[in-house]
Amino acid sequence: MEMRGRKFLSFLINQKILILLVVLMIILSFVTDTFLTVENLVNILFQSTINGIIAIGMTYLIIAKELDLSVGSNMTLVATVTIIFLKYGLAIGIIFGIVFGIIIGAINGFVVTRLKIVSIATTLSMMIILRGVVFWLTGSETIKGSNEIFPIIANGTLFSIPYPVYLFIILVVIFSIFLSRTFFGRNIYAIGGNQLACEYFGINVNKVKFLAFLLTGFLCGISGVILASRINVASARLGLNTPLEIITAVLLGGTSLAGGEGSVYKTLQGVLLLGVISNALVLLKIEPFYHQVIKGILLVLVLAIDAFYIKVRRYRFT
Amino acid sequence: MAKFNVLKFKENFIKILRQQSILFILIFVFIILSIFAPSFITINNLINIVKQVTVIGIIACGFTLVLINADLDLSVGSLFSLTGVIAITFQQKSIILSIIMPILIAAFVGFINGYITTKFNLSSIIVTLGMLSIIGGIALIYTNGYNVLGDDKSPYSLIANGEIFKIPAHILIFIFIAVILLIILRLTIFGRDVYLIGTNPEAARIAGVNVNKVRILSFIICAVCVAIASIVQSARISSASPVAGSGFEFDVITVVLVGGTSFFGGRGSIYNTIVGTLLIAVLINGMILFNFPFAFQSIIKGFLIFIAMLVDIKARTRLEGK
Repeated sequence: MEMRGRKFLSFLINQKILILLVVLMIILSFVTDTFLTVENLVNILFQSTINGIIAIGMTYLIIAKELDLSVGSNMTLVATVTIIFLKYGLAIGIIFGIVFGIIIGAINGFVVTRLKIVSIATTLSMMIILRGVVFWLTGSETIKGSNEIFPIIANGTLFSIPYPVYLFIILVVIFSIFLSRTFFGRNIYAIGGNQLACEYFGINVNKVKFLAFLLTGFLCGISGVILASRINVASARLGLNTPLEIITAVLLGGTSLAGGEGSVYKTLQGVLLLGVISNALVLLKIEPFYHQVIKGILLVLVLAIDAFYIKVRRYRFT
Repeated sequence: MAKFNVLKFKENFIKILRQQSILFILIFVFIILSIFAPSFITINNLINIVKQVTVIGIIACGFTLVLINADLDLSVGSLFSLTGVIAITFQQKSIILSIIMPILIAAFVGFINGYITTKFNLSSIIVTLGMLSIIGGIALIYTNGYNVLGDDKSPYSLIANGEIFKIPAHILIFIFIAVILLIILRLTIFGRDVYLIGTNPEAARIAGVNVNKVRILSFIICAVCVAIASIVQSARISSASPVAGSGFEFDVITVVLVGGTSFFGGRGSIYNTIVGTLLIAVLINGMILFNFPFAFQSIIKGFLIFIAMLVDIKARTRLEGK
């Protein structure tokens, strides 16, 4: 009975975000005449793709009660490495980029699981280091890509929808199934719910967490390649706001910082909602400086709602 | 008369070495630099180092309180920018306002940070990450993204550039703030509570400490320190930029953690923070003297945080082992 009530509650919360999304979209299509065009909707999907791909990995981490603040810098590093290595060929650039992303994820995972440094501190220092590395590689300038085919990866379209959107949908489906249907996914939830119990139960907690960090690094790699391909330049100024936006999106979707709860589907909703909000800010001609303020307020608001929800749940179970 | 005990001496020596490790590293780096970089040990360069640390140092002292509480404030950078531009815009109207307004606004921001964190029982890192974005945006809106120029002839700049006994005023302000916070942490009930909460918040609550109040007050003190630092900085250069403080939060975290204050709260002191500030300043000065690329500063800082955390964890497991 309790289980059903809990399921119903989370079901309701799913619907809340979806309803909010639909209502917002309806309002926007009345208020502005540019919102409900195919071009704009595709644009929103496209914008959401880069953050959304990383948000999948972040969902895994937050469910396992970890956090990665270095995602933005990791993505920027991958974009930079890809642009630099394009000289030696398209495939080499892309492979090097993704491998770099995976390596960074692996280092994060290693430090968190083996050296036992809390993930927030680990990834915070990783973020500082990577910003330095990107700054060093680009020399505070923007580097242009040297390959003509490369931009097609992100800007080419199929049925007037850009390729990365398809990739995003495929990744969402794969990792959604992976999270909900495999032992690995189940362990992620279990660790977030009660890590000590998992250790007693014989689950290799370190391995699962390491793999989650690795996955996030890999997704940063993919996202970084798409970002590089889309703008075809590398710059240290990219990705500064990414951790904030991704954490906001994941929490907005309903995944809780308390761990043990959430899903890739929820994150998808959060990412789309944030995408629509960002798009609305542009369409309503709100000055760019205000975007930062509004996104910050949104994060704090979502945090407060999450905390309230955790409190309610704790009250219900005790 | 006790016999001179070699073993005991050795034990004591190791103990001092452990407790003062950062100080010894500072001395070591100092000696190395004076040997290999002849321009390091000149009086001008040393004064330069001290001048550079005042702004970061003032913020770091306030930040130490928050960190001993086991909280973290990422919004210090944006707050530095905001209070700086506010100070400069009020400078033409009234000098007193240009000192009071930033401090009041900072105290309010600190209160909001602390209130949201404690009221909803949230991770202060993410709350202040949101705050960083909000305040940074407000600073940009307030100035429309432009730098603000002040009047460098006004007595306002005396706050930083005035001299008492040949010592620049901003250094005196730094020492003053450090001493006050040192006294607060060491000699007051509030200071004792800060350490207690950092070590074990549950025990502190049971012992009758108003945990939330102490944490909020720490955030406010930290924010006020940021305001003072930005007043000093804006007085020094009589101008302010809405992005002046971007990245400051990392500098401050590096300095405080390297000084030996624990990321998990409960351990640390103003003295540690000052030694950490000097160490980083000397290291960066050395890197500049050896013509390292600017980007390496950030890389080195990140690595230093890593190392500081490792040492912190080692020390913690050692203490728990006993």
